[in-house]
Amino acid sequence: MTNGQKTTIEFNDKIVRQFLLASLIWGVVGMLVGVIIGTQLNFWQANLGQSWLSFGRLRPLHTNAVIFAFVGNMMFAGIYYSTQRLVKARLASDFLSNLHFWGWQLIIVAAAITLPLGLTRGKEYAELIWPINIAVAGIWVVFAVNFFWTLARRHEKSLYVAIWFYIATIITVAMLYIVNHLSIPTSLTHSYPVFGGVQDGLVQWWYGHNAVAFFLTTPILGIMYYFLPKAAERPVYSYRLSVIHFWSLVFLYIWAGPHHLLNTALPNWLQLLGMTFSLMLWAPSWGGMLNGLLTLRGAWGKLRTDPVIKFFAAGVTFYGMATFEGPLLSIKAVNALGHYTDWIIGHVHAGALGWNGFMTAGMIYWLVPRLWKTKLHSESLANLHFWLGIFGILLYVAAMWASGITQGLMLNATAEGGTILKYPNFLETLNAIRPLMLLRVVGGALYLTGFLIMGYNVFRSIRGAAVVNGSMEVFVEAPVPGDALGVRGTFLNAPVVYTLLGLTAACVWMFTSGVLNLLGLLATVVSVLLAIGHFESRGKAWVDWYDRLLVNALPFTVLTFLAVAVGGLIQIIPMMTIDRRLQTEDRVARVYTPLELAGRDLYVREGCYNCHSQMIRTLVPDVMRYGDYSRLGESIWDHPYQWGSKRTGPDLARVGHKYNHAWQYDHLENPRNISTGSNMPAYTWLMKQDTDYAVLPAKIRVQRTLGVPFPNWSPADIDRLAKDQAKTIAAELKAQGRYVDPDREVVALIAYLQSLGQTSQPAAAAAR
Amino acid sequence: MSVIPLTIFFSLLLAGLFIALFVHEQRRRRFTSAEHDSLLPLAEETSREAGRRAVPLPPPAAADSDPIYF
Repeated sequence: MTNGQKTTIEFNDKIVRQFLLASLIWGVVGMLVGVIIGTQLNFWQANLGQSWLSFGRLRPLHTNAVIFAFVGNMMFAGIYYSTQRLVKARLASDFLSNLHFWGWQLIIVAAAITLPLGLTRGKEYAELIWPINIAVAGIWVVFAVNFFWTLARRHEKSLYVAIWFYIATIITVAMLYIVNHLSIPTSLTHSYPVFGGVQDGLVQWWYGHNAVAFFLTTPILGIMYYFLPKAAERPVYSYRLSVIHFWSLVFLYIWAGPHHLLNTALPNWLQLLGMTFSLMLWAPSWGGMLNGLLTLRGAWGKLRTDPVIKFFAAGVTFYGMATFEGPLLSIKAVNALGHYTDWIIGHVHAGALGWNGFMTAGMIYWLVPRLWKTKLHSESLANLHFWLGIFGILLYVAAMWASGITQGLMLNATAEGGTILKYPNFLETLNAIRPLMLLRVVGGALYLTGFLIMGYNVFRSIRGAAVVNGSMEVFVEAPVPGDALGVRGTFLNAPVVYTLLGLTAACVWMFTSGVLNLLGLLATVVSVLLAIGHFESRGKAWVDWYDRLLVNALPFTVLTFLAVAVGGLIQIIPMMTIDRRLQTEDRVARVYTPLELAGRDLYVREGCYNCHSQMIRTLVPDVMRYGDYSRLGESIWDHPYQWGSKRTGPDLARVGHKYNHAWQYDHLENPRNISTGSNMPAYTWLMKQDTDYAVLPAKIRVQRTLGVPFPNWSPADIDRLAKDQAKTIAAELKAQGRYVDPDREVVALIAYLQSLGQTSQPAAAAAR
Repeated sequence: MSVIPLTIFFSLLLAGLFIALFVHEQRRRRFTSAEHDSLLPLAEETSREAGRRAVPLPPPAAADSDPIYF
C-alpha cells in the first residue's frame, strides 16, 4: 500500500467539537425534563398549573430531546470523528458539515418550542409537526451526502466495520422516518398521518422500534467498534464475528416492531413474527456485546485506572442486559404482565442511560483531551460521575422493575375463583407504586448530577486549551479498474444467492399451510445445509467476495438496504394493500362528529396517549377491567391511531358514557375532585380556551382525502353541527349543575371522550 | 559433511523460499483482509493547532484529482 504519492491530510475536527458540546448541553436539558416529568408523576402540582409544563406535552419533549438531540449530536460527533480516520479522508464538504450542525440545532430548538405548545402529530418519537419533519429529512440528506461523498474520496479502500453500521444507520433511518411521517397538512402547524388505525400502529412501531435499533443502537455499535479498540489499544476481539453481528442484526431488527403490539387487535401472524424475530435478536446482540467486552482482553487492568474504559465496559454490559430483557419482554406471556407498565420504562432507560449515556460519556472523556490538546481536568470527578451514574441507573431500573411487576400483577389479579378483579380500582395499583416512582426520580436525579459533573469537568478541561485537529499521512493510490464489483458481482455470488434461497424458503414456510408449509420447512433446512456445505468446501470464495465487497461502498449500501427493507416490506405491504374495511373483525367505527373530531385533536394536543391506552387487549383481566376487547374496526378511521403504549392511567377505549358529562368536567378540572390520589394533571386551561371551529372544514376535507367516510358537509354545515352539539352538551352540563360556555375546549373534549367505545356498529351494516 | 556449506545451503534455500513467497504474495490480487481491517482504528495520527498548517494542504483543484472509490 506504499506505491502511491504521500500526502498529509488535516481532519475537520471543528465539527466534532461542535456536535460533542451540543450533545452534552442537550443531554442535560433532556435529562432535566425527564426528572421534571418524573417528579410530576409523584407531585401533580409540579407543572405549576401551566399547560406548557404539563406531563402530556413535556414527555414528548423529553423523549425527543434524549433521542434526537442528546444521542443524535453524540452520534454525529462519533461518526464524523471516526469516519475521517477510518477512511483516511477529510470530510468532503465543510459547508455541508456546518449546514448539518446548525440545521440540526435549529430543528432541536423548533422542537423545544413547538412540543410544549401542544403542536404534535400524536405519535411517539414522531410528534414533531410536518414543517419540522421536512427539515429533519432535508438535514438527514445533507448528512448522508456529506458522509457518502467522504467515502467516495477515501484513501483507505476497505470499509471498517464501524462504517458498515453508519451506512445501515443512514439509509434505514431515512426510510423509516419518511414512511412514518407521511402526512397531509391541514394547516401550517397541523397534519394527519396518511395511515390510520392498525396500519398506523404497524407503521408507527416499525418506525418506533427501529428508531431504537437504527438511531440508538447501530450508530453506537459503530462507535463502539472504533472507540473501544482505541481506548483499549488493541484490535477488536473478532473481526469475523463482527461480520456476523452486523448482517444478522440489521436483517433481524427490522422485523421486531410488532412486539410493541402484542395481545392487541393486531393480526396474530404479525404478533408471532414480531415475537419470533425479537427472540432471534438475542444472538446477534450478545455476539456484539461479547465482541465488545472481549476486546478488553488483557486490558482489564485499565478498569481500575481509566474512566474511559470504565464507561465503555459498563455501557457495553448495559447493552447486553437491555438486549436480553427486550426479547424476554417480547414473549407474549411476559408481555401480558409487563406491557403498559413501568417495566418497559425501566427497560428503555437501561438502554438509554446505561448504553447510550455511558457510551457517550466514555467517548467524551476520550475525545476531549485529543480535540483540545489538554489533559482531563480531573479523573477523580470522572470516577465520581461513573459511580453516581451507575448507582442512579440501578436505582432507576430496579425501581421500575419492581413498580412494573407490582402494578402488572395487581392489575391482573383476580379473586373469588377468577370471577372478579382483586383490585378493581385502578388508583389502588397506582398508589401501591408511588414510593417506587419516587425512587425513580432520585435515580434519575443522581444520573443527571453525574452528567452535570462531566459538564463541569469538560468545561474546566477545555478552558484556555488549544483546539487541535488531527492530521495523518496517507498514500494516494490510483483506483484499480478491476476492483469494481458491478451488478453481477454484487448479486451473483454464493453468500447472496444462498441467503435469498433460504429467505424465500423460510417465507414459504412462514406464510403457507399444509403440504406447502412442510415443503417450505424442508427447503429452508436444505438451503441452510447447502450453504454450510458450500462454505466448508469453497469458503475462500466467500471470504474473497466479502473482502471485495468491502472496497465497494455502493454495492455494500445496496445490499444493506435490501437486508433492512425486506422485513418491513413483508410485514407492512400485506396490511397496506388489503382493503381496510376487511380488517374490521365484527365492528366498524362510525365517523366522528365535527365536535368529537375537534375534541380528539385536543386529546392528541394534550398528549393524553402518553398515559392512557385505547386498546383493550385479548386478555381476561383487561376485559374484566375495561370491557369487551378492542376490534380493529373500532379504530379504523383514527388518524393518528391512539392505542397508546403506557397505562399510567386506565384504558379509555370504552370510557364513553361510563360516566356523565359532569363527572368528566369535574375530572378534567381537577382529577382529585373525583379520584382521590390521582396523579393526573388538572386541565384548567380547557375551561378557559375556546374551541377552534374555523379549522374543522380543512381537517374534515383532509380526512375525506384519507378515505374516512365523512359526509360531504359544507363548511357551514360543519360549523352548525359542531356548535349545536356543543350547546347540547353545555345544556346537559347545566342540568347537572356545571355552568360552562359551549365554545370552551372542555366541551369538545367531553364530546370526544363520551364517543369512545360508543362509535361502533356491526360491520355488515357499515359495509352497506 | 562440513557443517558450514550445509548451513549456507539451507539458509539460501530458506531465503530463496521466503523471497519466492514474498513475491507471490505481492503479486496476488488482494482487496483487503480481516487482519488489516481490524487494525484500522489503531492508525497513528498527529495533531496540529486548528488554523495553523505545518504542511500545506493540496489546493481544492488538486484534491479533485483524488481517487473516487464507490
